[in-house]
Formats: sequence, structure tokens, C-alpha cells
Amino acid sequence: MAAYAIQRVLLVIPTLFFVALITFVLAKAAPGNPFDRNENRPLPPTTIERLNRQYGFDKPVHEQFVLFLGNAVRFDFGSSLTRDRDVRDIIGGEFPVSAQLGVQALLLALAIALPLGIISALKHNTAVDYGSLLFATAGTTIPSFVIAVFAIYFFAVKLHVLPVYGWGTVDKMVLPTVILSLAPMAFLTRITRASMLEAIRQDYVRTARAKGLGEQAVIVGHALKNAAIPVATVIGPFTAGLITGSFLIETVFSVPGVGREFVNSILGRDYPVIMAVFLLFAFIISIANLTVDLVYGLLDPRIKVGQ
Amino acid sequence: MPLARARRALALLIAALLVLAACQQGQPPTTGPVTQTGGGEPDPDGELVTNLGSEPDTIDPHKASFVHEIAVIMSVFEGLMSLDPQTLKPVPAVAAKDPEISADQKTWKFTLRDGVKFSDGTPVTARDYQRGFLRTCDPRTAGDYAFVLYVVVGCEAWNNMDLRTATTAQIEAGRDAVGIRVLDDKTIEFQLAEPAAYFGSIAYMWVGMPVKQESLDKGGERWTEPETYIGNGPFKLVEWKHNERMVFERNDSYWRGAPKVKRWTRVMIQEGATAFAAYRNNEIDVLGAAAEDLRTIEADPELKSQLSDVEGSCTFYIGFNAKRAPFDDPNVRLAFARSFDRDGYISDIQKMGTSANGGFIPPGLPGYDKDDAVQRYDPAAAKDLLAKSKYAGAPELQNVKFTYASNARTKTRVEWLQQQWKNNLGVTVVADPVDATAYTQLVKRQETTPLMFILGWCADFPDQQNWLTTVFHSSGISKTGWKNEKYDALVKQADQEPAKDRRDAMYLEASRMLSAEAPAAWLYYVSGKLLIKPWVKGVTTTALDSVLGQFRMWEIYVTKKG
Amino acid sequence: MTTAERPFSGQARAAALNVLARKQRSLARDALERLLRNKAAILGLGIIALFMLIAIFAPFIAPYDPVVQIDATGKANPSMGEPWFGDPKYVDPAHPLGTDRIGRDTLSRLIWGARVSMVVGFVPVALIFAIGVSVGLLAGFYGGKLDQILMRVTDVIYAFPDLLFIIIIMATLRNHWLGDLLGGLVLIFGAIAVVNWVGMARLVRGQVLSLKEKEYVEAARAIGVSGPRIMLRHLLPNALSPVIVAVAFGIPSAILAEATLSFLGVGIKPPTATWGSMMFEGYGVFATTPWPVLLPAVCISIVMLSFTFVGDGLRDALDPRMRT
Repeated sequence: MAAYAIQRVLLVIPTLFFVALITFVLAKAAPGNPFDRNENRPLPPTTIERLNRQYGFDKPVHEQFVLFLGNAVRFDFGSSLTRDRDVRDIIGGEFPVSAQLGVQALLLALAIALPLGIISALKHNTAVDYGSLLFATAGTTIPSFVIAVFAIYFFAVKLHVLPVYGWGTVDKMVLPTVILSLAPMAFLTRITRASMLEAIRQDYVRTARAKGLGEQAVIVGHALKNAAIPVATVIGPFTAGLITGSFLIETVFSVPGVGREFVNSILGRDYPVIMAVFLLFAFIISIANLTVDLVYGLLDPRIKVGQ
Repeated sequence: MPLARARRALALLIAALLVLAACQQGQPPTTGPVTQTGGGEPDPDGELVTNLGSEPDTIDPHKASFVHEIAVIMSVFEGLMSLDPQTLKPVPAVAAKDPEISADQKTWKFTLRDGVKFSDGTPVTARDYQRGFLRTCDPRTAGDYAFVLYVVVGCEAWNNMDLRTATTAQIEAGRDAVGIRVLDDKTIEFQLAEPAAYFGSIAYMWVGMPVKQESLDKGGERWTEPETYIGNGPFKLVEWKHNERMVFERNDSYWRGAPKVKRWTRVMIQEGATAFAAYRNNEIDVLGAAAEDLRTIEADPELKSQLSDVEGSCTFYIGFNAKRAPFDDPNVRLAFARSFDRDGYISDIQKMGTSANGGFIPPGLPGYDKDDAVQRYDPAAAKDLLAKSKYAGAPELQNVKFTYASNARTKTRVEWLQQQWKNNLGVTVVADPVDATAYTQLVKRQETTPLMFILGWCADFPDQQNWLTTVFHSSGISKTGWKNEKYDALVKQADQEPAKDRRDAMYLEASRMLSAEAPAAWLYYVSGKLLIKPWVKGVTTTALDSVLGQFRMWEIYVTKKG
Repeated sequence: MTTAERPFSGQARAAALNVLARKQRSLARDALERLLRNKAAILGLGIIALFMLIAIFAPFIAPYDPVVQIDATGKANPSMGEPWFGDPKYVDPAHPLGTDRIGRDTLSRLIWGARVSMVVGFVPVALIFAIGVSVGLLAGFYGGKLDQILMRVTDVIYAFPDLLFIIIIMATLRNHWLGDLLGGLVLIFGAIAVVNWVGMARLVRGQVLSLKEKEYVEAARAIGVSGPRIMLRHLLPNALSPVIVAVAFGIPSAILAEATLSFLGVGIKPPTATWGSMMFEGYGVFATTPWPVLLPAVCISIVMLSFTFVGDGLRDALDPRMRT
């Protein structure tokens, strides 16, 4: 198990290397770089020198890539092409916001999905079950930005109880967090319910019931633990997904997070920022994927790991 | 006496910002300011929230050219002169009195008044102003508005030095040759290369804002961050959360006395729909209403009562890159200009303002040419022009890229235009949305100017020079790359012509030439509507405002709530 | 097959083949029966079929050209016209579902948008199916080096933030000649397929790995059936169950991806009407009238819901453990 764990951890490095390579290639392939080389109004030589030092525009491509890698490892992505600030500062300021938003959304999703999934599994085929299924389905089929737009309309414009945009105070965080949590909440409800249902039907639950244990003990002791496995395995990727996938919510609510930054940088062709965000997110996702494998190994000894 | 300058404006920013209109439903334009009369007890801790629109590319006074950039600058700095809100003529501000002008109108001497301080308490001296003006001319600054200072001796030569080949000694020599001298702590003198009656207006502009040497030393290229962005205007910048908001507080050292508003927050909401929702939710206090919002406003009596018409002095146009195919052929440019229905655009889409059926200069300003029919909508004539051009039937007329700042509302306007050109000319135009801040950068330089783009120009002060010369002279601010020597000579001659009739006639001729050569297709003249919450008072608006109540900012106040 | 290698007689071989054939057919028929009993799935299939018909016959059903802003007399259509159930002051009977900001008929745009959504739903998924299944089969069956390489490649692509990668591709290659093919459709197909084929490949590989040990595969190998034939005739059909379910869920996610891209402004080039770009434009007026955002949102939701029902139904139908 330990060997396997180490192997998986080490694998993250070549993975990220290739991600960096692909990112670099894409950035080079993209036309329309704001810093065009032909100029009749030249930039001051100090600026040109700084740009060359940073991006190595005057060096051959493979050297540029090595330069890029070396800097990336130190979180140095140079300065933004469209703004006068270091990429590191820009992202450093915005990443905590996205992280906070993602984690809050996940906690909220768990807090509601787990009980809901369990209860509807226990009350299989009743109104509660169908209700939660309906909710779960709606949460995964209605696009989140549509819900966002209408939430703004009702809560802010019509009812005046919540603000339209921004971040920082509790009232500003409510809407983005809730709406971001809806899709994972729906999904988690389905998973929880399905795996609870399956766990309940297992033989050992029947055995436990037959042995005369109280309903409570049956549920808590056996079913939950096994139902928790699929949920536990997806938590990592889900968190990563929430942190990296919040750009729509951030754009609609003007939350100053990395997602919105990414979208603006795409539109502004600010390649250093785009590459940095992409690498950062790939890193987060790799770690999250890693946790899935490790959790599998820990939680369920029946599952063969590393075969 | 008449003076003329202009500023750049960004289409969607105008919609989101407070900008002012020249015409109101065909009535003759009024030049008087709109004042929100007082009433209500001013709140000494009053806070104002407005929408800046998008993150400014730069707020360096010696580089900026866009309205939202200037909005920040004019709040934090003040020039030697200002403009009178009623007459729009220059009046002394930091200068103690009107400048002393030599007989040949080439030497201008300004004397500063006593007691003017920066927001950190240090006194403002003539040297600070010299530094500011010189910085605009400095080739290393590479500002967008240097052109307006070319009237000063030595500025043009210095500004055009090639930095790749110039030595430090040459650069220093260039600076020393510029005709701006400090006579003592309170006196500064300008030597002009030609007589320029409008120089008083130039002295009000951001190109001549004072700057502390300490700020530049400490901040370097980042001196525009709050810690070093020290000015002598009514407000100081205390916080700048990039892409989110800027927060200003009253400058207690301001020579006119501390402004009535304590704190002024400017947020950056790019989507007009979100800004409108924020206004209705009392999260922002002032909003430039857009056509999409009008229906809701008309239906809501409370909103309707907060709406006021606003004078404008801007023209929006579709710019062409005259150095790239197919727009290097003037026939193609004029064909595009004549093949969309401006009146339809106003009545169906924009619902505010008036269609640009005259020349470049909008109604209400000297030089407005209502008989200029050169670019009027005529699809048949447009098709002819296209057929005559060298690109008739050529592939360059397909997939012509039209770049704009990405925004749900602008998208539909661009698509409307796309359809017009498709139907009337048979050309396919491709929409190319870009991030707003990046867009302002693209259009500021010739090398990055898009093939087609949409932009606006607003008057800096009322004079043809500010439009015809400053914008479309080949060294001027517009980056279409269009150059016509006859036009250049004509406008330069008009700039210096002392007799008003001859001057107006020359400008008229130039204006017609401009419309015919069509480096840009005039779209519409701006006329806007402003929503102001009832607790915001003391606002004096003019047609030239880049920021709410620009020329009497310190009088704005917020009444106590409740 | 070389006769010298065959250990069994012709009769035994025929019997083995029989076993194989029977096993497949009964599973498929079972599944179909169960699916048809699932009312939600039937409803979903019906709706999908309806939208496909709408998509195919769009040029004939749509009352107007989706990009035209003027009526037959050349007069401009009303801007922001309300649908017949909206604010009566702005309803125009000629446009039952209203018009958008610049006068284009909403109903027509929704119909043509269905076309885009159907295409963007099915084509990338077909690509994903083709690539993912082939690679997964090969990797799972042959194992060894090929499998190792596949695993590493999937690791790398798994690390990608999917939508961001698609956005990057769309944004950077939009002005490339690749981005011009079919008005940007080819680019979207490619982008979605490139990111998602690994999931399919891994899924199939996993299935193959577990099926490889089953008796009937052993039987087939024993009688000398060639590798590719085993893969195609025996492994693939039995591995199909989760694949089919994945396809059923992959289609709505592709449709949603396109809508998201359009909402962010990096989707298919305008003025093509897509549900996503309609929602983006509607966002500009949502405080005044909700219909421009709601109507395409309802369409997308209905389609996605249908696919979800069908996917759920398929999963239940194909799950052997559900046999009571």
C-alpha cells in the first residue's frame, strides 16, 4: 500500500510536466498576442529587456519552455500582459476567494445531500424519496447560471434582501455559495441514496436485522459505512471541481475569484495569467485524483490496490 | 476664444458610466448645466457608490486617454485651470488668476495661488507642474495624449525621439529644450511654438497634472498604486482592489476645503444588466441608463422620477484600420459607412441619442455640419462603391473581423450591424469579443488596432480643433492609420487661423473631407439618461463630464438616510 | 484458423459458439424489455425524438429566418417583444414567443438552436465513443506497454480542468483556420472529444479487464478465435452496458458545455443561434424581461432531463443485479 501510494504521488510530477508542455504549446500557437513585434513606436529599451528576460521572446522555443518551467516551479509567471502586476500577486489575491467559495459550497452540499440521500433511501419509493429525486434531477439539469440570474432577480431586485454582486461579507457570500452548491448537492444526493439503497440490500444488513439489532444500529453500523465509500471517494475531485469550476458563478456575481480572472484573461489574451491558472488548477485536480486512489485503498480492504 | 479638445470613450463604459447628451428629442441643444438643487441635511460621513465600469488600463495622468481613466484622475488631481460649468471656458483653479499672455500669444505665465497642498500635506509648487507637463512629452512615458502638448516648444521633437537609438545625453538634451520654465516656486512659464488661444483649456487637462518626484521614485512604474498616488485634487485614492473597486476619501488638504462627501466607492461592474440590478437594490447610487433598462424604468414611477436627461458631447463611430486590407481602399470604407441604417439603429436598438447623420462633430458643438450627407445610408450607392473598389469580389471582404469589448448588450448591437452589412453589401463580418481592459489597450496603438472596432470620442472642450485635429490628424490620437496630407495641412492651418469665419470655413471643408475619406463610419451622437438616487445632491452636470459632477465635485453630498 | 492448432472437434466448437451467442441475445432482450417498462425513460426518448425531428426539419418549421431582424416589408421587427404569455403591452402576434434585443424571432431561434444543440450533443459523443472504445479495448485486452502508455496519458488528461481546457482551445484557436471550419463547430467537437475520451477509454478498459477472465472468453480463446474477433464479438457487446449509460449522460454534458461556452462568449461564432448564446444575450435584459433567458433555459433543461431519464433507465435496464 505504501509503495503504491508513493508511486501515485510521484506520478503527479510527470503529469504536471506534460500539462505544462501542452499549455505552453497552446499559448505559442495562439494568434493575436497583444505584444506584437513590429513597432514604429518602440517600447523603451528597458521594457523590451524586461520582457525578453521574462518571456525569453528572443530565445529559441525549447529554451523558452525550460525558462517557463523553471519559473513555474517557483510560482513565478512574470507579469500580466495587460496589467501592470505580477501574475503571482493577481492569482495570490484571488485564489483564496475561489477556495473559500468552493469549500463553502461543498460543505453546504454535503450538509444537505447526505441526510437527504440517506432519508430518501430509507423511505424508498415514498413521497420524500420522489421529492428528493426531483430536486436532485433538477439540480443537475438546469444550468447553474440560469438559476443564478433568477436568484439575483428575486432576492436582490424584487425582495431586496441580498446584494447583487461582490464578496467579503456574509450577505454577499450567500447567493454564490448556495447556487454553486446546488449541482454537487443534487449529484451527491443521488449517489448517497443509490449507495445506501445498495448497502441496505446487502446480505450482511439482512443478517444484522435477522440477528435482532435495532434499526438504528443496523443503519449506522453497517449501511452507512459502506455507503460512505463512494461519497468519500468523490469528495476530493468534487472539491477540486468546485474550486476550478466556479467561473460562471463568479462572473455572474462579480466575485473576485480566479475563475472570473481566467475568463477575463481569456478574453484579454493575457497568456501568463491563463497558463498560470491552468497549471494551478491542474495541480489541484491531480492532488484530488490522487486522494481518490488513496481513499479507496484505505477505506475498503476488499478493493485490490496496485494490481 | 473657442477651444477644442476631446477624449476617448469606450462604448459600453459610456453606457455604464454617467455621460451626457447633446440633444433631447430634436430640441435645440442646451448648454446650461443640470443642477440637483439642495435640500436635505448633508451627511458629514456620507458615502457615495458609483460604477466605474471596468478596470482602468492606467490611471497615470500623463498616459491616460479613456473616460474611465480620466474620471479617476480628475478626482485625485487638479490642474492649473479648470472649466466653468456654465460656459465651459477655462477658469483659474490652482492658478491664482488668469494667465499672463504675451502679445504674440506664444508665452503664457501662470502664477499658483497660496495654500495648495498635496493630500499628504506637502505644498504644491510650480516644479511639480513642470514635472507633470514634461512627463507627458517624455518619449519614455509613451502616453496617448502627448499630441495635445505639441504646441509647446520642443515637445514634439522630444516626444518623437527614437529610443532605440537615442543616447541618454540626447534624451536629456531633448527635455531641456522643451519650453516649460519654472521662474520660482509659484510661477511657471510656457513657450509655445505657435499662437494658441486654446492653451488655457489644455492647462486644465490631465496632461498637465502635478506629480511628486517622491511618488515616482518610490513607486517606479507602479506609482499609481494608492500608497504613492498622491494628488492635489478633492479626493485621494485610498484603496484599489483590482478588478473589483476603487475607494476614494475626501482630501482634507484640498484648497477649496474638504469635499462634502466623505467616501466615494467606484465599483467595476461590466455587465449593464447587473449594474441596473445593483442600482435597483440600492447598492449603487448613480447609473447611466441603457436602452434595455428604459422599459422597466418607464413602468416604475419611482425609477422614472430618478431619471434625468443628460447632455452629451460624444460621437460613437466604427473605426477601420486603414493600413490593412480591405480598408486601405477608401471606397471600401465609405461603402461600409453607407450601408447601415443609422436611423434604424437609434429607433430600434439604441433608443437614446441621435443618429450621426452629419459629420464627426455632434450637434451642440461648434463645427456641427448637419448638411454633411457624405456617409448617409444609401445601400445602392454603397454597393456601387464596393464594386468600384479594388477588393470587389475578393476574399478580403469575407470574414472581416469586428473587435469589441465583450458584453451581452454590445454583442447584440454588433450582430445587428453584421446583419446590415450582410444584407446590404454581401460581406460577412465576424464578431471578435475581447476583455474590456485589453480592448482599451488594443485600440491605443497602431500596431494592435483591430481591423474594425467601435469607439467614441468626447469633447474635452468645445472647439473643432479638439475633434478634427486632435483625433484625425495623422499624428493625432486616433489609431486608424489613415493619413491624408491635404487634410493634415488644412486642419493645421485652421488651428492657427485667427479670423473666426475663415477658421470655421476651413474646418468645415476638413470635416467634409474626413467624412468622404471615412477612416471611421459615424454611428451616433450620444445623449444619455442618468439615474440618480434621491439622496444624492449637489450634483452639477455638464456636457463634458467624465465623472459625476466633474467641475463641482466637492459640492456633491449625500443626505442623511432615514 | 490453422487446422493444426485446433484441439477440439467441430461439434464442441459449435456448442461453444452457441453458448456465446445465446448469452448475448438474452441480455439484450432482457434489457430492452426492462427499458420499455420504464415510463420515465419512454417519455425521455419521446422528447429526444421530438427535438431531433425539430432539429432536422428546422428550415421548414421555423416561421422566420433566425438572423433576420426585419419583417417582409423591410420594417424592423420590434425589439424585446414579449411572448404571448408575457407583458401584453409588448406582445406582437406575429412573434408568438417574442423577439430578441435586435428583433430576431425567438421561436425560430429556438428551433434552429435545437439543431446546434443536437449536433453538439451527438457528434462529440460519437467521437468519444469511437476513440475511447477502441483505445480502451486495445489497452485492456493486450495490456502491457500499450496499457501503461494509456494509463499515463489518461492521468495527464484527467489532471486537466475540463471546461477550462475547452475554453482555452476555443479561445486560442478561434481565429485559426481550424476555428473557421463549419463556423466553429469542428473546434467545439474536437475540444469536447479531446478532453472526454479518456473517461470512456478507462471505463472500457476496466470492463475488459474484468471480462477477460470470464468463461466464455476463455472458451473463445481456447477454440482459437483471434484477438480482434474476441474484442469485437465478445468483449465489446458485454462491455457496452456502462458505455451506453456513459453515452447517455455524456450527451447532455456536451450540450451544457456548449451553452456554458456561449455564455462566456467563446462558443460558436455569432450570429448562429444557439441556446447558450441566447441565454447570454438574454442576460443583458433579464431585469426587464426574464423570457429571453428562461425560454432557452427551459429547452436545455428539458433535453437534459430527457437524457437523464433515458440514462437512468438504461442503467437500471442493463444492470444484471437488478434482476429480482
